[in-house]
Amino acid sequence: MIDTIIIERLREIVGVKYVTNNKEDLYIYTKDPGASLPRPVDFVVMPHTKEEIQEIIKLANDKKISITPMGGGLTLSGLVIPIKGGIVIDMKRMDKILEINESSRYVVLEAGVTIGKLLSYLRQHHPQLEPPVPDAPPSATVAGNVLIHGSGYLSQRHGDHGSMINGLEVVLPTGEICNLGSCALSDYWFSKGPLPDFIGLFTSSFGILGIVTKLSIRLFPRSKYRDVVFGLLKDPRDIPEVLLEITAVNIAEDILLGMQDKPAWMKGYFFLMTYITGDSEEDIQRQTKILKKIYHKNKCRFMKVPEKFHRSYMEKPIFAAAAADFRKGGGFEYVGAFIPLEKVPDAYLRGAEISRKYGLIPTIGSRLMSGIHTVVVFFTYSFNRASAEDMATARKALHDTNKLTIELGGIPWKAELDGQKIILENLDSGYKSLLKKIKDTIDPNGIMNPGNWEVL
Amino acid sequence: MSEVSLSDWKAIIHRCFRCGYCKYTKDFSEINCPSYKKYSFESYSTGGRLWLIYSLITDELEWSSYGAKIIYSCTTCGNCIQNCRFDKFNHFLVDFIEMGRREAALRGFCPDNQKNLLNRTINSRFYNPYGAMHSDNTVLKENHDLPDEAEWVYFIGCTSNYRQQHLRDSTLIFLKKTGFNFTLIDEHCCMSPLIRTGQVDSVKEFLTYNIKKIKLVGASKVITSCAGCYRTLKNDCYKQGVEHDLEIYHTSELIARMLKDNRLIFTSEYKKTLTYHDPCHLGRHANCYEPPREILRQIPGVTFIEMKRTRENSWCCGAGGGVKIGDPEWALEISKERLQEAEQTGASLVVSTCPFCKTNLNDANVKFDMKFNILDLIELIDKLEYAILEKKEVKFIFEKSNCLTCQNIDCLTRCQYIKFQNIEDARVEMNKLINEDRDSIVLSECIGCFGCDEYCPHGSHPFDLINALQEKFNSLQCNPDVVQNTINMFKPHDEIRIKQIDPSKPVLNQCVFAKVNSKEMSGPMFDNFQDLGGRDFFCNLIYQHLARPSIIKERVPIIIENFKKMGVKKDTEVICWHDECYGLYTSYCKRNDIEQPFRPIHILEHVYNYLQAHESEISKLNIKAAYQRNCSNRYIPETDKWVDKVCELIGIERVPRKYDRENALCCAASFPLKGKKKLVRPTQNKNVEDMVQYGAKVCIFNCPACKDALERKISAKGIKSYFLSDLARKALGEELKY
Ligand SMILES: Cc1cc2nc3c(=O)[nH]c(=O)nc-3n(C[C@H](O)[C@H](O)[C@H](O)COP(=O)(O)OP(=O)(O)OC[C@H]3O[C@@H](n4cnc5c(N)ncnc54)[C@H](O)[C@@H]3O)c2cc1C
Ligand code: SF4
Ligand code: SF4
Ligand code: SF4
Ligand code: SF4
Repeated sequence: MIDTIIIERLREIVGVKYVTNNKEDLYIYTKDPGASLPRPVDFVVMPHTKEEIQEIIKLANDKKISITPMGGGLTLSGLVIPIKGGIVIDMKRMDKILEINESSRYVVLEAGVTIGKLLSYLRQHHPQLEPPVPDAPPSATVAGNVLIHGSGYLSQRHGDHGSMINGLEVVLPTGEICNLGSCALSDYWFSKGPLPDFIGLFTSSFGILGIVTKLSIRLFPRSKYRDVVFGLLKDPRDIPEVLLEITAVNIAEDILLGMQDKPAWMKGYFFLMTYITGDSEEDIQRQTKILKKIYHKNKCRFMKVPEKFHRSYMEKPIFAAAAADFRKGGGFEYVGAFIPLEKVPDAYLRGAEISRKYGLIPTIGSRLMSGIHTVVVFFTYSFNRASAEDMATARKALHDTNKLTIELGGIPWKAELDGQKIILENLDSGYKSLLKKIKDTIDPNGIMNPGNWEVL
Repeated sequence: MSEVSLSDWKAIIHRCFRCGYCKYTKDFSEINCPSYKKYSFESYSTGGRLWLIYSLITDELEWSSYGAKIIYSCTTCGNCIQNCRFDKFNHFLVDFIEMGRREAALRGFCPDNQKNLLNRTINSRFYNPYGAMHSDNTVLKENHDLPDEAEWVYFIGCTSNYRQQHLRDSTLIFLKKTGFNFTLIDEHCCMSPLIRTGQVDSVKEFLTYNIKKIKLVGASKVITSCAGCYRTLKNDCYKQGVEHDLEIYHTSELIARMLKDNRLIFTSEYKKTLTYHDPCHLGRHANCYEPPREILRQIPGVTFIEMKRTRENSWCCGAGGGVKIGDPEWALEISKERLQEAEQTGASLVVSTCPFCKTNLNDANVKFDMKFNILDLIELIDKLEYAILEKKEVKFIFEKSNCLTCQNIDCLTRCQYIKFQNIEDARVEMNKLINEDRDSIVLSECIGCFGCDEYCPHGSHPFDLINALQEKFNSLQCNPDVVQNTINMFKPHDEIRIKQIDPSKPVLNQCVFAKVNSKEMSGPMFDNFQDLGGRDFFCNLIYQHLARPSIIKERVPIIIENFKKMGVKKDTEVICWHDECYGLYTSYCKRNDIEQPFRPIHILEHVYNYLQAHESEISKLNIKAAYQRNCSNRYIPETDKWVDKVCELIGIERVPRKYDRENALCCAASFPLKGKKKLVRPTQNKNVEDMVQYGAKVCIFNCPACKDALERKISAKGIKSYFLSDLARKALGEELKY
């Protein structure tokens, strides 16, 4: 009965075509390619405007039904599978790129704009600019990514993507709209502040405090030339030193690290990939020379790689899903852990132990962010989605990895429900109580993505 | 191979990662899955459909008519196949959906409209999905005076026979005019609509029936002007377990080939701006993108403008996969979007190569009052005047009859390496050759540039004679160690490791350059090929240089067999990276009466087509370049036009140097092998000076041996060396790391 009332109202708000409660439609929204167990969804709606979102929120408050905002649904950690059922707001119809400011280098866009759309739009209309995007598939949204502190090929040089937000337009859980950042008092969406920074409330809070409808993010000049220089380390303890030196000379655009036990030739090595950019081929050659020297000095062997391999690493963004798929079972999840540099060797060694313990092939990667101020380490688990047992094993490995992350002084990123629980168990009590107070004040009926970051 | 057996598909469908590459065009600029575009819910994306089918076959969800609606709301356009990035999985995507439909149909969930397709088709009064009274085609046969037995069968297809008769008649007229030895059969539906909608019970029976009928008239080749019939006969038969050895051609393939072989020319003008719509069945599902375009480009007066989404990234017309009957309004909406895109080109005419596309595009054109003229390519050709030329006589062996009456003895008088006082002098020498006189100076002095073959205006192939005599009399006295080493080094293995290729997708024949020139065969221009290379695929023409043509004769059949073992079929497109390979599979095979094992494509034709497809990304290079034409190209002078075309597209001025085109001068790389070391320096110097004199900044090669031979020398003169394909890649913005 209540369902009929809700669906009728949702249809009035967004139009009949854009609401569903058919179980066949809902099915794919109850799961993601990660290892989370499916959770029920009652409705999916696709609003077109912020006003429609306001109406949906009013309805949710009225009926005490929860709301989960969804972009591409590609975090892998089940973040858009509602914990307490209710309405999933699929943002894809809010897909307009509203403004490109070439001189202050930013883009204002609606929250449903995908990474693919932004990439192709810039390539076509502003080829000199490039956006901070992750190596995620093109259907991930820009908003979904920056709101979880995502990272990509520009993060080593410019920081995580959360730090590239200049401003947000948010519909609060009460239905009010607020603008945050310079757009709160200016026509220019060019800067976060200087104002009390409330943008932070909406990042990595997984939609529990409101729905972002519009945002501005920074853009960057596209480099003319770019290359990647591969290195090979035998001992993980040598990793911090070589990274410190590379970042000290300030030439790297992006720095990736990785290890995997398969194929066999890769086993026992740690691969370092330093990306450099420049204005000319000579410029690139010069920097390559510098890197080679640093590699050599720090027990890191310069490595010439086959063209095919080189090419796949030059893709921008990298086709990361290929690695995710290596078990060919359609399932993949990882703990992305923000970790201090000094703990990286331990992270690799002990992460690999977890994999081996569960009979999995150790496959760990990482990316440096803002110089060496943060290293995000990806402990990845590829599994067969068709096997419940395989998925359960992946969940266990993820659990152990979250614990390891905390032990190493790190923070699990975009943590799945279990990961959030582990963080909350270890979180400063003052932080927790502040979080609770904010949540209770902004969202008195607890309608926004309840169950996430839940402080009881 | 893309055969999915029922047991296989259920075990792999869950590999879909739900990542969504399949939703877009390759550059992500547009949503290109018609179903996802209309419904927007994730359930209607390719991935959503696969996840749903998986949940249904594993009993996680129950079958329902709404579930079936989702599975049937797909035009089977194949955009997902092209853009999903998981190789060895992506080519199954539409098969998965069709398998899902089979499961639905088995359980009674095939929607009613689609069920009608089945009811009508299996009804013996119709045998077609339209429910039109069956025609056994006798009247047509009589009207067009067609024989009872013929080499070819024109398979009309239900849409052309019952709905687009003008298209059918245009095809008949064309085939008659061009003198094809063809006939018609009493055909039943090709079963495309039923395969696409998962109603497969009678499919095998119908396919077998049609094939039997074709064989009964003694035909070995089938021509069809319907993209759907083409795909079914060509690809679906074996997926459905019906094997046949018929050759299947789409009209556009045949016409393009006739134009290429100079057997057809258009003699009237057609002054219109037009655009071309790729039918999904023909393009994405059968990889036939270029032939229709080649034809359109050759029609005098035509301005051909591509739409934004073309080829692999075409927007579907909306008719396929049972959508036209299942949801006719939606089918028209999809066509409307196509026509809106056509509007942006400024064209007044939209051409396609499928009667079903034509029907749907036209219905939308009328419904939305869009004022286009919509024609099938064959109908357009019917409006033109054209001439059929005698097939140029091809000589399989050296033919002396022409020589006896030959006026100018061009073969020898134009030779750049042997000097004759006058024509009579040359005639004496020619007579010696004909009489197999071992003392002819030609035998010892010929450096093997194959020039005479090109110079002979009668197609007599004098070099075949010279080369055979050089072997017979050991006239060149090549170093026997070198000869033996080469023979051993390039000997094909007794057994080869089989790496099955997909015969419907193009193959790159890398010859023996796979390793040495891997970089030159990399980058997006080469990425989508299946590679075959190494000595088991070596063209062996090198033995002409060593005066051992008998080795070629001996080994070529082995090499051809090797291609077949890998799954290469007669109509598989094989891009020959080296001129010599292309020369083997075209000129050599013809001369020696060897059946062409596949469809050889010249590397530069591929480069040109690739550039055309990416025209908007080209930044002109604006350089002057000398072309160092290699000797093997003399067997295939018809391919020289690709050099010009590529140069033009990427902004290269091919300088009119003295030693280009028919006057090309050998790079001299092979001279020392033939005891002609002394000639190396003067020949190379002539080449270099000529490049400098004509102001070339760059020298273009199409052969690694020529490049190796000259690169150092010309670089000393400030001239950089490139393969033409490299320059094309540069023009497209690729950074070459070598
Ligand atoms: C193969 C692969 C590779 C990846 N590589 C990277 C990588 O290199 N870097 C990286 O950062 N990530 C990566 N990811 C993780 C993830 O896909 C991306 O971060 C992605 O951008 C998330 O965006 P989304 O639109 O899918 O977000 P979603 O999953 O839809 O949403 C993420 C979170 O944001 C919330 N949210 C979404 N939209 C809104 C809104 N409008 N208002 C409020 N809250 C909202 C959701 O509720 C959810 O909690 C990868 C994932 C895959 C599958
Ligand atoms: S079909 Fe391919 S591209 Fe599409 S979601 Fe599945 S795996 Fe990704
Ligand atoms: S075949 Fe076409 S309509 Fe069907 S899922 Fe693939 S892209 Fe979409
Ligand atoms: S080979 Fe040709 S050019 Fe030479 S003599 Fe014979 S016909 Fe004339
Ligand atoms: S192959 Fe060349 S060198 Fe030999 S006879 Fe012919 S034209 Fe002269």
